[in-house]
Amino acid sequence: MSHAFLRAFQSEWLKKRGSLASWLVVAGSLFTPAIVVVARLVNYDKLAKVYSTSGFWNELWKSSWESMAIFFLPMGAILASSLVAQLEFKNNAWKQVHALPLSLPTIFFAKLAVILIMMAQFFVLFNLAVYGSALIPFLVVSGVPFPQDPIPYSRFLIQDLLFYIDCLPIVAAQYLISLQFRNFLVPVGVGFMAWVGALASLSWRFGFIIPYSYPILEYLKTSGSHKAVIPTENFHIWAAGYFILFTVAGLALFATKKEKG
Amino acid sequence: MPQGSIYGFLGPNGAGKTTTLRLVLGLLQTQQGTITIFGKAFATNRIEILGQIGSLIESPSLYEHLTARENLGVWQKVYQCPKSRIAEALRLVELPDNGTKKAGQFSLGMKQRLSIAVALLHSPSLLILDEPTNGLDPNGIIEMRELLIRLNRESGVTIVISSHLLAEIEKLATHLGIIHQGQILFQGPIDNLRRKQRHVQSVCFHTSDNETAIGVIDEHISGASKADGKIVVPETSKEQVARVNEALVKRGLEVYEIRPANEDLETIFMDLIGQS
Repeated sequence: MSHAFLRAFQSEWLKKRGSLASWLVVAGSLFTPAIVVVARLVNYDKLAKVYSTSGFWNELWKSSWESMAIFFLPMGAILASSLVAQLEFKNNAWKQVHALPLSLPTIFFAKLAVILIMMAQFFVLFNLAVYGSALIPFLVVSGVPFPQDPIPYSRFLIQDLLFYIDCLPIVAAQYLISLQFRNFLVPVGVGFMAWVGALASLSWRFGFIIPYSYPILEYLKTSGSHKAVIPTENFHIWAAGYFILFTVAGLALFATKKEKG
Repeated sequence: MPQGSIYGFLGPNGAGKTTTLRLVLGLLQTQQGTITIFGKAFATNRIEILGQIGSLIESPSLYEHLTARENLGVWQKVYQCPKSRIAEALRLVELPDNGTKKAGQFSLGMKQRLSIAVALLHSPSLLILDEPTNGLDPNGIIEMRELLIRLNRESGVTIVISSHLLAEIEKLATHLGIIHQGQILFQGPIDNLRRKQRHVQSVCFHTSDNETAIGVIDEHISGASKADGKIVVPETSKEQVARVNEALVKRGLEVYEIRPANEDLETIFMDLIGQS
């Protein structure tokens, strides 16, 4: 990793401090676990039974990921990628960024790295919040036992990793579009339409070629749902391939843009 | 443009000032020709050259959700200049430390100052400022001018400043470039321009009968016009002035005054633009 990249990354990281994108990561990752906590506290009289049931952690994990995989993760990736690029457009700062003694690939990858780490933060916070959503009712409601099942860490971490890979094409595609358009509504609108397209194509045999569909497919695959045609192909490889493709295309378009800022 | 100079870049709206400065910074791709800065081709030495340039192009480029210090911190990370430069740059532009106040809450004058601080942060050799006084009140314009002169004198920073405020440039610049419709009409020290204009310049005549006089003048030089009770004759050489004066006297007119028309920079500038 070059020294210039590190300098650019530090600068980009400082820019997102207190920005809407950074708050979005926190709010998006905590929302579903917070709802889970509220729902459990409302139904406090059933908690003792729920916490004593075998497979508690798997059920919690599944219910927490449902809205996350289908809605919050794709939307989080769409908004975070768009907002990071929007920081420059909104503040008329592209011209200043392009006048820095940095190569264009360095600028491009420093920003992309910030988005990828923000998404990783999103996952870490979400995992901690899921654990917290189990812990809070246990601490608050008397008579609720701590779940006896061991937490299946390795399975959860592997699925975290797969969900992360699955959201990468969304990040790269949104980043590509966001760098090209000053109007924030364009990348968000395109992202939303692509997400709707992914939902609509779930029952299609070739739905897995839609780059926004992978987090949804991964959730439906592991939850045993029959709402989608789960491809026999390894769609995580497709996700990684799309990520590389969109990243290379994004860099090419960024570097050859006639007017910079 | 000599090192250590303040180069005023003048031209009417749409002349190509901002486009030129954007080309110099690599913000626009050159369609033809090459750009050379510090004796090196920009295309092949972009990163090295940009490391020595500070710039402010058009409106301020500030992250409005960050404080002044944080804004400077963003650029300090890239330039890797000492952190102490942040306080120095703020002091240099006389921007008080506003603590937690976000840049978005600053007045336009404060934003312009902070933008100049960003441009100065890494102690550049060349400062490129595109219309830095835009939106400033008269006091702000004076302060900005004094700041730039001080920077130039004390730190030896070469400054390129574009502006549509000709009177402002006149008070500041040592050298001048005049651009119109994408063509440079003049480039060099301001005094050279004034000297050049003295050779061929508009002249004012004041006579006892300007109506008759304008007819006499028309026999020798075309384009004479009346203004403020006097006759203004454009692009007149010394020899032509002598011939016209002789003709006026021969017609029995009393010549009260012959003097060069206003030679402030604005007039010279407008003459040049008009000639082109």
